[in-house]
Parts: sequence; structure tokens; C-alpha cells
Amino acid sequence: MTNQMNNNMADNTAKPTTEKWRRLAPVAVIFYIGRFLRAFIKDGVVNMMPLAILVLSADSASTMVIYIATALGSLMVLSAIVQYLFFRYRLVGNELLINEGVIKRKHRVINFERIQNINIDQPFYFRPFSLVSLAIETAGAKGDEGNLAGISTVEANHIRDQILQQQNQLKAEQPQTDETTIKDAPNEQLLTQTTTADLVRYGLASNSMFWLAAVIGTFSTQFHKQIENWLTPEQIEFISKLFGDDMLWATLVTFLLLVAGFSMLVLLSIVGAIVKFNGYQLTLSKDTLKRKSGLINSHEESLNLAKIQAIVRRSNFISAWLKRENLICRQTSSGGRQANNFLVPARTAQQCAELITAIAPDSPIDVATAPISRRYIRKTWLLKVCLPILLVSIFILFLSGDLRMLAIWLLAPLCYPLVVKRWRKYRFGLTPEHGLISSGFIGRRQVLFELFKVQRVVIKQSPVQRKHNLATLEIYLASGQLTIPYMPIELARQWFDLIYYRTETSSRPWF
Amino acid sequence: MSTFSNTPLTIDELPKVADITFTALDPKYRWINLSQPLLILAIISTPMVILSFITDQLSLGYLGWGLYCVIVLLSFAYHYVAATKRRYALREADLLYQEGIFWHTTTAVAFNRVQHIDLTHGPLERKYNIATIKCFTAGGSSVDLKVPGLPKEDAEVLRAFILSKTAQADATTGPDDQSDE
Repeated sequence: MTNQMNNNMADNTAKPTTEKWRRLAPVAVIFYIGRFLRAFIKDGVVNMMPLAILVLSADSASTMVIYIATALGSLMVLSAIVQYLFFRYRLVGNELLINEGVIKRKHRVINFERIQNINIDQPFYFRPFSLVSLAIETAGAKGDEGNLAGISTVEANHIRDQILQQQNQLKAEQPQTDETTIKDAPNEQLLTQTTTADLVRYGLASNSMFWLAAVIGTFSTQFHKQIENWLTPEQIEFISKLFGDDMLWATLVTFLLLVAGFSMLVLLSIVGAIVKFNGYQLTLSKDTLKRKSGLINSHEESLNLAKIQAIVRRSNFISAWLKRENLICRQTSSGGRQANNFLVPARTAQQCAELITAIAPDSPIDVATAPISRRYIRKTWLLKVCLPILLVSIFILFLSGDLRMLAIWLLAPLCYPLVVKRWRKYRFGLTPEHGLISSGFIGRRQVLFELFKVQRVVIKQSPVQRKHNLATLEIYLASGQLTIPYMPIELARQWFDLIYYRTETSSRPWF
Repeated sequence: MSTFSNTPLTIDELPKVADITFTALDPKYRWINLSQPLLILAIISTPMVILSFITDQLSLGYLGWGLYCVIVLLSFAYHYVAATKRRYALREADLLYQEGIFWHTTTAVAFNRVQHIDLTHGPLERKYNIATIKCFTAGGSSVDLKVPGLPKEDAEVLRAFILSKTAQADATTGPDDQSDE
């Protein structure tokens, strides 16, 4: 089957580990069945529409369904078994080779250097056999590039360590006199872990739109009407029989329904948080961050520190109220793919600061920040508040001619304090090696990045900005774009000059 | 190469973007840049002329046609002037570009961040021996820096220069297989 045995790449420096082509554990078949089902539900169902016609036109629909289900089921099991049989992998030097596919054979070579993330998952059906699935993500590929589903925990750890070790070796070979890592920490160092209470907080805060909907929903009469439309007359009659058709009761019932629905959503969000992050542990060993978590499927993710493009502290209005922030390590997002961001949920401000010091030891502890120009308020208010209102009111007048609708202009002064608030949250600070930008509206987002990792900077000036010596600075990192609006032009030029100085004189790899 | 250092830097010591003298583009480019509004004009005007003079379904009147002509002229003027405002500058380690009549923008691409370079020339550009150079980095999904209106020979020299710089940077930061294709 596999005639690729004579690969002469064998690097003698590496320990002779997985010399031969290896297979996954037979339980992998279950993994493939699961994957098949997921793909089937996602896009296969639509393609099965012709089958529905077959079923409907058959004499006995139920027998037909049984036939089709059996056929599909056995096809699924068969294909999973065949996939398992044809899957081989092998470590050679600093490459992982994977051969798979039945009709279309795929030979994949994954160079350790390109690997961005190594995730070790343990689906519940692997747990009794102490097997795991090791997924490898590389820069530039959509989704997993390689997935070894069904190897022993020991082997997974071994492969991971070898990849990370190679990556570190490569980095050490580079002309870099100064090691920016922590003094040789021999083993794993536990950085942080979460309690269930933390996760409840995270769950409460993570879907903040629910809260907004709830607040708006309860206070808007429109919503009550919506509920009335949504209930059928019989249901309304039933409810009114139950409680009497008092208006008060009706309102109360509506309110209770809303509260119940909303509590369900919040509960789901909390349960989701616990399922995903239960037993969250963040550890650091030399240059690698490792995160372990998960209630049903345990998940382990590793990230090389050098691959972090920016560190973000983020809170929305609920987490701010609960005095918690999320810490996110942003990585390269290539080809429009949202990067798999490394998230540490529900940390206090103190914990966040400590984590950043541990992850990025040379990051500045206190950065002096400056506000942006007050002109930002006027421009934002005029452009983002008044202009839309103007357009809407012209549109409404044109349609109905009802002058009362002009009351929407009351929104304009009401929005002003919000714009001021947004302006106040915009701050920026520059240190010799780092940039810090914080922004927000009700919550807050603070991005800290190393200047030499920046890909490109743009200085933009509108005529008004030119008149007042202001500029908008756009910073492009491999993880996304950052903007500082309405900053003094001299400062914008300073950022520009310093960033290019750092990128051009640094020989450290940005990725 | 300069190693890691943490001495407080006086910003004044850095090379300043404010001091750079930018180079204008090839004068021929101003006229080439008019091809775009010309094309749009052709696409819009043809049905307008047919509708109003041949089938008589559209009547703009003198005022309408006058206004139309003014808009067309303004668009031509805009594209012409915009071309004169586009400039570039080459430094040891980066390529800078500036543009804008009302909204000014300045940007740069450091050679050790370049992922790949495109050199393109459309049919009209080919006729006048003009080329456009496009630089891509890992930040953002589209072109990061585009310098149009370069004499073709200059553009080729520039590309070779940038590629050599990029290769140099790669050599110092270790093997990287993404530099050229």
C-alpha cells in the first residue's frame, strides 16, 4: 500500500522515535464515523433531497426509509473503517508525514516550523482507552492540516514535545544574543487556573447580547405585541382562562415568559462555558503556553510564545461589573480565517497583569497613555449619529410626511454622552519596544503588541485633521488591524518612525 | 546586526518620515490614469446617447447634458490631479508611498516583512512602457502597497532590489520558504 518507505530524510540528530509508518488505534473508526456524521448533517442533508422523493414515491415509505438508512449507515461504517485502514503517519526529522485517502491518495508533509498550534483533544469515547486526538494547525491552512485521531496520550505528548523542541532549537540557532525567555524553568509552571465560579462569571458575560435584548425587550411595548402575535388566539385564550383576562395578569405572564426564556439562554451560556473550560489550567514550560480544559471532551492546546502577535485584555459591561477580564493571545490570521485565539477566561485585573508579565516578560508594566483629540467627539457625533438620523428622517418624511416622526432627532443629544464616553476610552501609549492601544464603549479592549511584529503602518489625514495637525494611524499586525483616530500628527509620525525602526533593525522572526 | 537593546531612544535620532523627499511618478501615468474614468464614461454614455437621440426615451434637456458634462470633466480632472499627488520613496530598508488630494495617506512596507511582490502592466501601460509594483505582507488580506506609474525598467530594478533585501532578511532570520514564487 505504502511504497514511500524509502524516505531518505531521516535526521540522525533526532531521537529515533517513530521510524516506521504507523497506524492509529482501531477506536479511531468511531472518530471517523463522528466526523462523517458531522459533515453529513452540515452539508449532506441538502444533497439527500432526491432521496426524499424516492421515499415519497415508494409504495411503502417506512420500508424505503429503513433501506436507505441501512445503506447509508453501512456506507458510513465501511468508509470509516477504510479511512482508518488507509491512514498512516510517521515522524521523520523535523517533519510529520501523513498518508491518507482511499480513492484520492493524499501524501502530506508538515514541517514542524510551519506548525502554529498543536491541540490535543480527548473525546469521551477515547477516554476509556486513554487515547487522544492530536490536531495540527499550520499558518495558511484552513482548519486542521493534520489530525492524528486515536493515538496514546504518551505518544501524543511525545510528538508534541518533539515538535516544540525542534521549534525552539530552530529559534536558538538564529542570531539572537539575548534570550528573552524566563530563566531556565525546568518544568511546567502553572500560571493560572479557573474555578467554577469564574466560569459562571464567564458564561454570564460571554453572550452579552442576551442582556441587551432582555433590557430592551422588557421595556419595549413592541415586544409585547410581538409576543401576542407569536401566541395563537387559542393559547391566549388558554392563558386568560388560567389567570382571568385581567390586563395585569396578561402583562405579568408575558413578563414571566420573557424572564424564563432569557434565563434559559443565560443558563445555556453558563453550561457552555463550563463544558468548554472546566478545569482550565494554563501552564508555561520554557517557550510554550499550554492550556488544558474541558468537561466532556478534554482539550489541550499549545502555543509557542514567539507566535503571539498581540495580547488583548477585553471586558464587556457585564464582565466589567463582575470585575473580570478575558485575556486573549492573538495569532496570525491568514486568508481571512479567524485565528484560533488563545483565551484565558474571567481573570481579575491583577491576574491579567501577572499573566502578561509571565507570558511576555519584557512587556512594560505601566505604560503612560495619552488621550486622542476632542475633535473625535464632534466628528463621530456628526458622522455616526446625525448623518444616519438625517437620512432616516428624510426617508420617513418622503414616505409618510408625518412630522411627528422627527422626534427621532431627540436621539442625537441623547447619543452625545455615549460618544464622549467612547472618546474617553480611547488611549494610546508608546514605549521603546511596545505599543498599547485601549478603546471601548461600555466595555474595554486593551491591545499590547511588540513594535517589531508590525507589518505595516498608515498615516491618514483628512482636510479637517490637517488643519488641526491631527492624523489617524492604522497599524496592521498579522493578527489584524488597529486604529488610533485623531491623534496629534507629530505623535503619529513618531509611532511610524519608531515602528519601522524596530521592524527593520530586528532580526528576530515575527512569526 | 543591531542586537536587542533597551536604552531610552530619543525619537530625534530615528530616520524621520517627515524628512523624506518623495519621487513623483512617470508623467505619462497621469494620462494612463484617465483610462478608468474614460471606460466608465463609455459604459454610461453609450446607452444614454442611444436612449435620448435615437429612441427618444430620455430627455435630459440642455441643463441635464450640461450638468453631465461638468461631472465628467470633474471626474477627469480628479483622476489627473490624483495621479500627480501619488509619490514614492525608496529607503535602505523600506519603500514608502504617499497619495491623496483631500485625504492624505502615507504608508510603507519594510523589506523584511514582504511576503511577495507582483509586477503588473495592463494593455495601455504596456504600450507606454509603464508598470505597477504591488507588495504584500502578512498584515491585511489585500495589497499592502501599490506603486503605479513606474517606468518598466525602473520597476524591474526595484523589484529585484526588494527581493534581494527580502532574501537577505530571510537568511538572517532562518529558513523561510515563502519569499519568492
